[in-house]
Amino acid sequence: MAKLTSADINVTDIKEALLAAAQGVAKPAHPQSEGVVVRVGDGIVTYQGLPNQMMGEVVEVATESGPVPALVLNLMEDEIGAVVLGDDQAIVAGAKVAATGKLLSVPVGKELLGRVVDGLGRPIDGGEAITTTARLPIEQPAPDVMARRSVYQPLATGLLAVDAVTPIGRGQRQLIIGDRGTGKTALTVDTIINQTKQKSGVISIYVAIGQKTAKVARLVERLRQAGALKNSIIVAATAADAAALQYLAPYAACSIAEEIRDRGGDALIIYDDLTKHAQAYRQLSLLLRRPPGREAFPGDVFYLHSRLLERSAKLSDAKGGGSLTALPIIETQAGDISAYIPTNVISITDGQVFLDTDLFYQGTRPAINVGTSVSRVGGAAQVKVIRKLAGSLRISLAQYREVAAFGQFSTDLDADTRQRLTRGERLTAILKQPQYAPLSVASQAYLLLVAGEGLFDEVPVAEMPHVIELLTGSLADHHAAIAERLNTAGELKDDDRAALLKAATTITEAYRTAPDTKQQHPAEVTHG
Amino acid sequence: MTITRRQLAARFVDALGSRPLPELAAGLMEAAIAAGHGRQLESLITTVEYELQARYGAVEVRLTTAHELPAAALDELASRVAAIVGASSHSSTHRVDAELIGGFEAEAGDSVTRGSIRSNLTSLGAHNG
Repeated sequence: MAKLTSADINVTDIKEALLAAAQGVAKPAHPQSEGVVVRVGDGIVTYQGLPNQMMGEVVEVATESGPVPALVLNLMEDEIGAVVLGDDQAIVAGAKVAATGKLLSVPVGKELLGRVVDGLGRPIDGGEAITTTARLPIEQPAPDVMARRSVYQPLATGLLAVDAVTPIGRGQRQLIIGDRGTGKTALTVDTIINQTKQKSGVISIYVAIGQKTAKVARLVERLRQAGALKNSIIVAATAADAAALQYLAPYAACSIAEEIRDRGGDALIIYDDLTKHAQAYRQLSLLLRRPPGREAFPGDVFYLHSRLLERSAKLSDAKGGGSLTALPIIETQAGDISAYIPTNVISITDGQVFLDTDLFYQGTRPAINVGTSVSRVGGAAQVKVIRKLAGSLRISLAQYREVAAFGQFSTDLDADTRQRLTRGERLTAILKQPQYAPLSVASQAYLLLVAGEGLFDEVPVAEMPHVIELLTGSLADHHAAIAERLNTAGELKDDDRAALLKAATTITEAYRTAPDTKQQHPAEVTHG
Repeated sequence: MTITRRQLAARFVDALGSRPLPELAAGLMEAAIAAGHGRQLESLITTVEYELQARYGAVEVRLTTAHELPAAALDELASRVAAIVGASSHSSTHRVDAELIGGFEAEAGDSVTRGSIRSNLTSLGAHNG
């Protein structure tokens, strides 16, 4: 064979010959539309075939008792891993797998209000079947930058410690973080109740991930008693449910909330909690044989939460102006906020409310640590009157903590230090609030006004809860017009201010004692 | 071990001249399907094209002009484009696309030359925001 030179090569002729040959070869009439199960176990099915599968696609595995759905989560070169969304015991090796070409979706719409559903949108409250006209995929892209606007509307929690110090705006993502049993869920339940109590128009979606079924049942009952269930949707994937359902529940709930956001409404979603969500995802990832990383979590555990929380947004007016506010909950171990999942979620969110175990057991409830809690965007959304009256609250409390620690070792304190201790103790007292009793903007403003004017300074700390109750009661009974103005306009006029201070002076008069001349142990006073 | 598209393309180019071209082409396609590349045949043809350019410096110049041009002018244009990409030999194809408004666009191997009024207007628009 003579050696070819470049002059002998005609690329166009060669390409034409190849194209003609390619058209002539026999191609499969249809892409392979059936797979075969290779392995099954622990809720994971592995199969071969179906080369055109999508990530997140639903497939149906044939069993004797009918098709069982599974969700594609692993696309490998020669096999596909899927999470079984039904009874995996019925699946056997060699079973046929059929592609559906559909992504996993959940029912959305007003029909879900007041209902308790599982991670796939199926009712689990014993009520009627839910019939909705719309369904949305559980995974959706987050709104882009142009579709958003800055957070500017307040989302009142009804908790003075939050609304005054770490205010939350509609569209914000505010992390609730703390150890087990420090009141994280209670804080969010109060927030849900407050939306109904204040008629804010916000629809709440509570997502229980890996919680005890009894706890979810109690929460539902509590919301029902408070009349807040009709404005809420509960999505529950309890500890008794499969890890797959726990993994899917937040995404499904987010799609339900997005439907409210996208039609111009305001939604609040509570993820309780994302620590257990990450653990469920770790379980799935290890079963799918993905390489483990730090603390055995897979490498994409940050993406797990970032893609979820990024879907919370305040939309621009052009997009309807709806909002989706997220309150993710993270449970820490021994107050360690520098662990893997807490640091991930802290870096994703727009601030955090840190609940302190020590404060909780000292009786400060909600046990919000004002020093380590922060709201990065909520300040712009704070109600004017609260912003004005609470302006110096954080610094006063910080100064109080400093002198309280110092005062423990000193017997003779100067007047200024004594004054800071006295004021700090009273400020701490007004931040304490009983559960399921959220305060209106007017009540919060009233307490901050009275504290700021020093009218509490001579009231014994032990009497503070009673005096606070009298003040908030008198506001509702005798100054309803002022309260209404505060709640609607969010501003305090001079006349109203004078009238409120006069009433507060009269109420506190009866409880005032002479200023302390003897230094008390701060711990005794604060936590007594 | 699975044979790659690049290995298939190299074998095909090795065999050029030994048998008639249609026979070689059919053999390549059958081998590609047997090796699991049945869904990437177009990509395989592109790989063959790269292999020919790498081994023989031979390219196909694909010309697109806004108007019909005389054959001599097209040959001249193709030769110049081939020289720009450093090709030793070339063949050419031609099509007319009125959307270019004026001028021409040429592809040779993995190089693209844009000399059309449409591309100039696009650049101007991008420059001026």
